[in-house]
Amino acid sequence: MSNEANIAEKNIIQLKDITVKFDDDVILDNLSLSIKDREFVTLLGQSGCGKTTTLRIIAGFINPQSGDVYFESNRVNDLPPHKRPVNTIFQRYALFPNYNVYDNIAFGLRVDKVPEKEIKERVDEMLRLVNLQGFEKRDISRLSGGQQQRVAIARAAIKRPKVLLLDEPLAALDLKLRKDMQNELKAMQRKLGITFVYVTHDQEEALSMSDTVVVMHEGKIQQIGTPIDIYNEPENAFVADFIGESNILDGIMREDYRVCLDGVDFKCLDKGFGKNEPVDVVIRPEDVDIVPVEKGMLTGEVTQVTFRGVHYEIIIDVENFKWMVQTTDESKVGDVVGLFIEPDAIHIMKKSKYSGKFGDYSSYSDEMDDISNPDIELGEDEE
Amino acid sequence: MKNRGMKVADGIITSLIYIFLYAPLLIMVLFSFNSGRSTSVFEGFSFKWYVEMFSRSDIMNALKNTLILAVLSSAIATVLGTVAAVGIYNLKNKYVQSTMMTVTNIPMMNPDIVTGVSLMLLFVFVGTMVGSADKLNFFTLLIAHITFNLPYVILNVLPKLRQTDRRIYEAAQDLGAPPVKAFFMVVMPSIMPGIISGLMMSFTLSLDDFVISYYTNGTGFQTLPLMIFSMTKKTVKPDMYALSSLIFVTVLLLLVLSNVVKAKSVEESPKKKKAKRIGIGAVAAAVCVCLVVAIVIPKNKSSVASELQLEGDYSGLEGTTLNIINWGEYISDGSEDTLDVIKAFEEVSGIDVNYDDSTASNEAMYSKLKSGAVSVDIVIPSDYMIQRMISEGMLRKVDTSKISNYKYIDEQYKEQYFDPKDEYSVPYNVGLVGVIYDSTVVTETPDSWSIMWDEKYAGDILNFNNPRDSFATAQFYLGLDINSTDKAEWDKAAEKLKAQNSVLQGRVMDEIFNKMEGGNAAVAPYYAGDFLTMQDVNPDLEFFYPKEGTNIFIDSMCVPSSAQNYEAALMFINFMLEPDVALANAEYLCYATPNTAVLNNDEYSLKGNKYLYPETLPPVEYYHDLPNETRAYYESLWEEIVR
Repeated sequence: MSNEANIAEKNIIQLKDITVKFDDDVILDNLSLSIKDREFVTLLGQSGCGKTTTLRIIAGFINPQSGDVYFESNRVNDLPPHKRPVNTIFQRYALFPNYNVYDNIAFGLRVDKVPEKEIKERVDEMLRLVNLQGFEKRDISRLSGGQQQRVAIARAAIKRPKVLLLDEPLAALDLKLRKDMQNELKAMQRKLGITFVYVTHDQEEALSMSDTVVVMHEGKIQQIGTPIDIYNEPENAFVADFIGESNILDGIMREDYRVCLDGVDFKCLDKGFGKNEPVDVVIRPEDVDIVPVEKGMLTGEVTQVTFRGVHYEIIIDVENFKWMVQTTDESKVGDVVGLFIEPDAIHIMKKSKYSGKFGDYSSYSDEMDDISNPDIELGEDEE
Repeated sequence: MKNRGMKVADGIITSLIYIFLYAPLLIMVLFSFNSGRSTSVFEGFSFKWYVEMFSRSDIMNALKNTLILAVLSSAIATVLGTVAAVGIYNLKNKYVQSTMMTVTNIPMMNPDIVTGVSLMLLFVFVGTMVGSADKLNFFTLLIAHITFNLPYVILNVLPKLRQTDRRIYEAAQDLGAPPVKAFFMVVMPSIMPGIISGLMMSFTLSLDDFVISYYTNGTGFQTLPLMIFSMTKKTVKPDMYALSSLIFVTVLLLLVLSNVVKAKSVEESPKKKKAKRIGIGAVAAAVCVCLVVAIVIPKNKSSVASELQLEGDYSGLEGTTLNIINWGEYISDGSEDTLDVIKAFEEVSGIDVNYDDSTASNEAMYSKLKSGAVSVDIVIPSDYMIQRMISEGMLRKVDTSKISNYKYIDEQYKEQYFDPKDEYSVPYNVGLVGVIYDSTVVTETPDSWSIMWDEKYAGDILNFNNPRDSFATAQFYLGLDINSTDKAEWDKAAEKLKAQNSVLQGRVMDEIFNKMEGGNAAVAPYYAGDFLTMQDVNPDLEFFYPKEGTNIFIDSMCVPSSAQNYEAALMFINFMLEPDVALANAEYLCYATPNTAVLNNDEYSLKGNKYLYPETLPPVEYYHDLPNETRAYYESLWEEIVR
């Protein structure tokens, strides 16, 4: 999946201490970020977290109140959008309705006064890349969403930018097409050998495509890391909750490798915390095993069982904390069961401002985020 | 059944609506092809009125002016309006945006007459401040047209902008186009249908605007609507139908075209762009044709002055400009093979003439001069108005020693009451009021004003629709002084006029031509010259001068004190007195001429005409300028009479 081997060491884009305010709203709060050449970076966060604003700063459509933007170690704050060596794939594509497919793709080269012959060659190359041969003369309004998406990619990629900015490019597609396009985009990035900066609110998309995921919230970066790091080693309760499903409990670090949950001590792999320091403890639902009461470390009662296809999602009440457990074994509501947790399934985080805000599944509404995500319809006009 | 009945009613009402909408236009188009000049009988199919129209340099000049004005004003308004629409669209503050929209929409709702008058006031005010001589000129007219066109452009472009995805502008920049180029490359094509329909709308609006143009144009820049208005004051000739038909067809084509462009742009078809290109191409072609026509046509007539034998010297003022205000159809204008006097003067003198015949009355001319809005070198007011203008210092003395042809002025028209020493005015035209009657209805030979009160002709009698002329009929009949300042005398005349109401068909001015020519009325007082025009159409008409006496008028050429080109004005007066020119005017106008060279010319078709130049004249009386008090008094009486 990853192409770490290709990623260069040098930074291609650097944002330093960027602050953006709109009226009195802080959109970006002293944000710094480095992006390496040929890296697939995803800015992940909910609507209003500042991810699109970050992208627009790189593209040059927004000037930060303070902070600097570097491109290959040149400061580009004062460079207007049309002079920046980046190209953007816009949310809902923003194709030119008065041009056909060919003219849309050729636009960037025509502006640069590239000879028509070369334009023809490169447009053909792009059409092959995005699998749209034969569509040259087609009117934009007569393309499907997926086809429009491909034209948008071709139009941006034809200029051979060092960085391609993608603003929720898949948000308007239906689920199946979205999965296909995820693979295609990833493959394309490898083929083009350029940097992708990808904005999405969809954590699954972020995890499956990126070399690096930047989790953002309230104008701040919460965590930067590989998808695996982000998933397995969330830095705080927000990241843990936002990425995948998590049971987040209050715990006390007794000593290195030993944490106390609900009055029960567990072995774990974490160290370096103070003695008896209060911590947040993350345990992923698929890492919890349901066992007979006598073999369990904790005991609880099954309150809800949902069939999800591959697995069951089971909510278990342990002393008023609702755990989520994902398992292929069926249980019945009202069963009293034991919970078994391996030491490597336990991840310890320092307390943060997000502690206590997320955690159990007594109010089970996360799925609503995806259904009613405003990004999809309204766009993210953070500027 | 009921349903069916409703359908039939529906059909009838719909057809009625369309009949009322289009029947007048169809009739006008039909009569523009009439070979005769009647407005009621179709005598045969002919293009003669179209030929006539195209050969008249004043009409063609007005057409050229109208097109120049329409093209310039719509083009400028389209550019400004598009820029304004983009500006309004990009306003961040929605409250400011909607306020801006309201402000731009108000001129559209505003009555034209208010817009026109207020613009005139502004232009005169600013012109006075900067000390301009011509406070109203082509540019004020152009500004006025741009002003009323602007909101329509904005209104057409804004919705298109709203339909356009803002991000395509960013996308273009992202792909390397600088902001301005990005706008032209991707935003412009999207809003083009709006721009084009805005352009066409303003073009048609400018083409047919009368009211605003009437108040904001200066002398000389005559547009078609202004010209049609001045031409329809007397008898409406079929060349007007030809002209109106052409305008109607042009506007119709433009509207159809703009709708086609709009429809094609909404329709999401692959042919969309092609259709749009065709539309744009057609508009461009139409505009080009218009311009070519405008530039080429006025030059198609060869010299008109070459056949004239001139006595005066018309050199020395080449390149200067002369501004003239005259009544409509009050000079030989080249129609129907007559001499185009203005053009001939321009040819022999090299002077540019701005000729304005849109002024409707002595009073309108007076207030136009008084307002200082225009600078004029020649006006042709009537006797009483000359008296008033002299007394108010509005006229400059005319140096007759520099007018070699002054010798031709008949002595009987010199030293009149309004200008006793002939210092300010040179007579141009003389008219007498008499009574016209239809000899098929009136079988006796009338000789008195009493016929206008005769019960036998009840319902067939017309009188003037203005107080002064109307009172005069009663005053002459009763033997009263038409210039009396005695209220009691006016009361008596008013009583007499009230007594006339029961036999009167109506009070008319220019409508008298159609009424009498068509046999719709039998008795009417009017001018002898106009009677001759009517008799041409209806040979049954007869005419007499009432024995009790009647009104005489002299219209004379004068130079306003604000004149900018006094020498050219004298030269023009001299030219008008040339035997050949005066003959052409006398033939054209059919009024009595004060020019002895014409009166003694055997070629003059009206020489010794018994109506124009009767051997015995009844007592005649001029109108004098009456005191305000008397005027106010008879006007209040008048209101009672016509109520």
